[in-house]
Amino acid sequence: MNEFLFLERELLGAIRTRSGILFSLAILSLFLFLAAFASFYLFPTAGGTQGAMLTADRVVVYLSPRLSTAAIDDLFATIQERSDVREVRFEFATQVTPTSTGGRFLVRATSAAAARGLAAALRAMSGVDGAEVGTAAIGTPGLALSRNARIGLLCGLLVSACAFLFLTRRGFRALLHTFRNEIRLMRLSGVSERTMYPPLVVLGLLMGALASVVLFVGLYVFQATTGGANPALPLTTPRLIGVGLLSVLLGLLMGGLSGLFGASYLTARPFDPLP
Amino acid sequence: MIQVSELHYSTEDGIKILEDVHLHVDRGESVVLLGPPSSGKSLLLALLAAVIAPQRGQILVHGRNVARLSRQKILELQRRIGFYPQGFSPLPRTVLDNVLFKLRVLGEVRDQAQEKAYVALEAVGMIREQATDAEDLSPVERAKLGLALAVCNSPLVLLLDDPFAGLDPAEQEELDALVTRFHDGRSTIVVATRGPLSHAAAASRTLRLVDGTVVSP
Repeated sequence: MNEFLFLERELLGAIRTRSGILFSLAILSLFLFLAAFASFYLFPTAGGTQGAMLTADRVVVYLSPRLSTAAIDDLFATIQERSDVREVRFEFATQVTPTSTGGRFLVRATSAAAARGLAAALRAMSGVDGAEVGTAAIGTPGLALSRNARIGLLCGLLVSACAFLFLTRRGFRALLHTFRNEIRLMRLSGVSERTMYPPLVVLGLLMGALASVVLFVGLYVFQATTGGANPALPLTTPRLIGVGLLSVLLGLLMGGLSGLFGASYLTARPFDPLP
Repeated sequence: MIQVSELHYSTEDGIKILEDVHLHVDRGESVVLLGPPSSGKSLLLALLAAVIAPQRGQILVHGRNVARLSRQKILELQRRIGFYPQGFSPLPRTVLDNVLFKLRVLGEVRDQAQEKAYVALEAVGMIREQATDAEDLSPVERAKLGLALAVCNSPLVLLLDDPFAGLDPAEQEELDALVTRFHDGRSTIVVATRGPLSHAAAASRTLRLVDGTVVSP
């Protein structure tokens, strides 16, 4: 422990401009990676119809599974003819979830104000198991992610992960180059690899921790400034903590991996005890 | 203490550097290994220090066969050997911090390391330069710092690879007197040099490395 702490301090002290810039960029790319990862969980998919994704002028009508096709057609026609309805769409049970038994109507009211009364009227209709009014503010579905945005985010995820690993490897290489005389001295003095490796892995973990803590704080700030006021964004505190903790774990994992990559560079020729 | 028999070493290209080397150094003995540049002196010392594994032959240090030691045992052996590498260059920090670095990474706690570092610097006459940046030292002072690093953890074997390189005759005499002082009858010392020998070194047993083989002059 004694030599570990000493070496960790010496390693941190050996960070120069080049390695410092590379490590800073690596932390930034890890932050972007974690942010992209968190976005998958935090932002709903555009076009989705469940929960808070429904805007306030929409009503979901859950149909009884016992309804015949003719009864569904009749119900569809009845709802469509209502003056407070702008649009009706039918979804089969299997389109909702694989385990759903009844189909549903997605009804768009003429206004958000009319949606609540419409839902009450639809609930009272025969063959309807329930009706749910959307809660999201009208005109703010922009926070949801479209399919293309998700593909872009996935690409960003991969690119930032690769950039992180590339930058940390270069950073560790620069750092160890500065530290090469110390490494040679350790090798000549009988210092084991078990002493030399952990400080490098911990350095990687520190980078991972830094990036994920910044993300965690960023998410909280985001929730405080946007999420709370915007019902389209399901940034509840438990969800935020869950995603935040998952990001921290992923950040530490990525950081630890980068530290291992960096430590593996110790076996390179420049660090032979007698060059 | 050091027993080498039938030691052979060739490069990857098949060039023979050491050929059938036999060497015996008793405990507490001081030996000077004399040979021209590229004669294999550094290689022989690196083999003795267990930094390089032998290809053929036997090396016994402290009665242990270096070729058969586990990685852990090799590290333990290396901790008991003080090695001065050829062309020694100090770490970019103060003289005291150079010695402290080695002692701390070997697991010494701060106070203990500081005490040992002062003793080592005192032994080589560098205590006044303890706060000097090691990169600002003169060649002879650098060599003394290298010696301090080699002896700071009280090794049983001291292997010095051409510590006199780049020094004028007066400085060589000064350094050699220091090495002689370390020869207290307990430490075994092997000094490799291309010569010429100083007065103090001439008093030690001298061996020559000729065509990859150790011979007595």
